[in-house]
Amino acid sequence: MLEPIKVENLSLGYGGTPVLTQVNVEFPKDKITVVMGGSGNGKSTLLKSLIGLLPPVSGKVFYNDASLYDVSPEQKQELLHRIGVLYQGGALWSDRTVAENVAFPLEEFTTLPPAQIKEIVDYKLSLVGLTGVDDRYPEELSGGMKKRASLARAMALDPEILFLDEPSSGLDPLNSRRLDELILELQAGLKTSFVVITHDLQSIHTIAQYAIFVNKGHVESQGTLDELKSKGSKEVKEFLSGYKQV
Amino acid sequence: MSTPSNNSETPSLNEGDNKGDKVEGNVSVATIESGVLFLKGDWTLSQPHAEIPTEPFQTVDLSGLKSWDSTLVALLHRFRSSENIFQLKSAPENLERLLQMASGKAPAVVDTRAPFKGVKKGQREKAGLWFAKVLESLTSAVSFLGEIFISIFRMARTKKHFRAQDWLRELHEAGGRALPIVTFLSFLVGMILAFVGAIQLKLFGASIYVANLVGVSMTREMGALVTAIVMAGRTGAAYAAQIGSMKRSEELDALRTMGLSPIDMVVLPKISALTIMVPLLSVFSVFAGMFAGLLVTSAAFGVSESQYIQATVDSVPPRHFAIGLVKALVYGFLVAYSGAWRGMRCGNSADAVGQAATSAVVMSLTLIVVADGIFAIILNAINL
Repeated sequence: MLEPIKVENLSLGYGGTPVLTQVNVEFPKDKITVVMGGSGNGKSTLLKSLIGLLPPVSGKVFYNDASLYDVSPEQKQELLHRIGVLYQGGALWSDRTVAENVAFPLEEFTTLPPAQIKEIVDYKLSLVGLTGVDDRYPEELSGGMKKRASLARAMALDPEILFLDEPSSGLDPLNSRRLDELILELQAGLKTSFVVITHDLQSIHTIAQYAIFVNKGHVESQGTLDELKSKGSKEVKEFLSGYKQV
Repeated sequence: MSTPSNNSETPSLNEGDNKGDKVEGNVSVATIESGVLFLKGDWTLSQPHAEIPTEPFQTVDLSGLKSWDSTLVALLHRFRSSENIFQLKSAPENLERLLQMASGKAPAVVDTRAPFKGVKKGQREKAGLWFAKVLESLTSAVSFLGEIFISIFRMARTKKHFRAQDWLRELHEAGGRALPIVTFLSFLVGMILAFVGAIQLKLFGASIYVANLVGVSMTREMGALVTAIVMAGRTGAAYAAQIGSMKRSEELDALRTMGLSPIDMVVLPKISALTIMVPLLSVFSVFAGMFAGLLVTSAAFGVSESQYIQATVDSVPPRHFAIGLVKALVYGFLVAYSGAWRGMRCGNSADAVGQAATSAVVMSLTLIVVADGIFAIILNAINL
């Protein structure tokens, strides 16, 4: 079982331009951790590094005691099988139906027979509230349905950690709220760890069980929302209240 | 939830907390006694689960469960979906909750997201970056070529993640669906060659030599060239657009975070399909061109069909076919490589996909002409 992810002295950047510097964070296990902050402060960059897409300039990302960017390709693949990612736009493969998208990781990484894979696909789609769309292609789905289908795919291999990148972006407040409720339900039911990247205040207040505030290229505060509201910096208090303090 | 893994050290997350009949080893067992379905042992993704007996049951007893994950929940969900009414006995704490969630009907969701309009770069910025990009592009092109060969060796060695169905679809896309346009255009090229040649040769009373002209041109040069040019505009551009779109919508990242290489899963099937299909299509191209030559000379220049066929057989030795096939093989690879490389380098802006497709065609045509020139020099040097 994966212990909480630990990030040590992590610095990230693109083409020599630093985006995040000296990040030290430990993500708690079996909780919904929200990585929050204004746009352009490095939240998505941090996510990319956590899920193996952006090697750090310096520092390490640990899953258990294994450093994600220092292990062998086989070990890295083994670690990546144990996480699931919901991308901002869904990232469903457009040449496959919804059911084929969800079935893909099961076909690639298990030896289950097709009937059992179908059984699991039906279950995962039901879990996210998507029934009767198995044979539809992603282009035939609305934004909210794409996110749910993508969430079902991310959960296909029963990951121990789920990363969600801006789950509520592009959704109206009602759908955004429903997705938040789904995330809470899933976390309670699946007993798995969630790392959610968002700047949506309503979502943060609804789902956050632990929060990490990224500001100006570094992690400024971390703790429960109550802790951040009472003991956090001026910036995090402003962010959480949505108003500039005078 | 547990994660399926070949690593035996990876523990399952949901260790059964119930006491019951013990089942040896990591196996799942399903039996029915007096209307009670007993599910015992290991019900996880790590292996196919046991066959479920067909007799009716009213209770599902989970007291002998050792470990479980979605495999078990999916099975019970299927039972419930088929309106099979049953009670759960000794169910783990969160199992019923997961089943209820899966059974709940979620309301429809509506997309209100505004379309992404993209960002355009200024001409001066583009010009300033051009020189620096040339070197970076060359490095990237060579590196991509290396990745393709590494991927070929990896796939040949392990055969892991090879999806025959996807590959057959690529073969059909690159081959079967391109056949009509390749044949049609080759037929027209054959006609043009025959007309241009025949008008000149008729002046010397040598119309029969149109067979030599068309035969040698089509087998040695034009068959491969016409096929490659059509495929550059049709399939090479499509590859760049497809891969570029996948990159832009994070579909390639989704593969990477599953531990899969986009080169293995997306690029290699396309490159191998086109490299195989262009030589095959060029055979059709050659015969379509020669058939057009036959029609033109027999209909307009008084050469009989049998004379034309005999002259073609006499003037086109097998080595011309072989040379044409080798050229087509190389052109096919170059077209696919250009499309895939441009797609992988596609930017994130709205018009980047179009640019990638355009660049792929330009690059393909340039590489084809360069390769043709190299072929001409080499074949001349070795008297072929």
